[in-house]
Amino acid sequence: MLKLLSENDQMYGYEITQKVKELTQDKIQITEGALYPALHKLEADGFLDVEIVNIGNRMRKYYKLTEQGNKETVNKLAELEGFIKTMQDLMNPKYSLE
Amino acid sequence: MREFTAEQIDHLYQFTRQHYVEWYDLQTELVDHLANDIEHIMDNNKDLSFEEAKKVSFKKFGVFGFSDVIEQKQNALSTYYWRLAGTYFLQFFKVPKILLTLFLMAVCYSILRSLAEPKYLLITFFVVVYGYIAIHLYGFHKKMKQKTKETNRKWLFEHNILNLGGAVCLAGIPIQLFGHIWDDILWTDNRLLIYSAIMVLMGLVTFILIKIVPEKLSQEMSKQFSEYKQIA
Repeated sequence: MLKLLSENDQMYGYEITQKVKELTQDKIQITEGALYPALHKLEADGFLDVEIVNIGNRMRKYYKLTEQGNKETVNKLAELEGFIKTMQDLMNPKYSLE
Repeated sequence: MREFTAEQIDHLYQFTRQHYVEWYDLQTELVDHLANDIEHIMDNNKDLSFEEAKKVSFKKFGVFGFSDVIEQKQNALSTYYWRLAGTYFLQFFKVPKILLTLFLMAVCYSILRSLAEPKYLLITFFVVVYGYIAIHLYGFHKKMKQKTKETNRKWLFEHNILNLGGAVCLAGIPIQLFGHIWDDILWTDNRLLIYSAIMVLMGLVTFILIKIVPEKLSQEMSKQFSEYKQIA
């Protein structure tokens, strides 16, 4: 979610679920019950800023990363890359006689 | 993509209310989500009616419906309340405000030291602070109810202000001090210093929790929702 928001200026909840489905070809689905709690927590932690926009006869809540959120995204992505690399090393160990 | 009528959107607001989402700030986000999903479902299945698509969409929230979203939102708001309170509190321990904090502690210490029985002043102080909080929250609750009656809208963040971000359940802790103060007979300088610090800290926390943070939250809410009317 943080990565998606870092690549898009601002997004709303439903758009995030659809984008994740599209990017992962339906392999990963963020459920509604998980999406909003996660967004609200990120907002409370100061990583997201909110803007309410009137669209026709209803309102839409857009989320965008704050400066702190941008930093957190970089940290979390680095953490994730490190984790993936460790898992790859575990799955494909390089044996050596040294 | 189809466009829903104002009546259909109103119906979705009612639907969220029937499923225990009483607060307009949270309803708005869920209504937009449901509307988007219903549009998507109806576009992919032309035979489905609005009502049927709504049922399909609501099922995606799981067996507990919106309750997880409500609970987590309340937790997130409390976290935010305390994060703001913490930020403002720490400002009173940085230059220049720390000078004011130290000055107030010194004033409290001098007054306590000049008294033969400091316990009466301390007890009075705690009673006044508790009384002030109770009167303030009662007034806020009354205005909140009045506004809900006029606008037919409740705001979750105001509900959070009313229980001071969950701090109301911590109110019992300072009451424990009452017994201590009442039984104390040895008023040493160190003890007077500690009580002076407690008085100032308690005053600061009260001021931040019931004045500064609610004002900041109301301003943020007014910025987000043009229809939000601040409680004066």
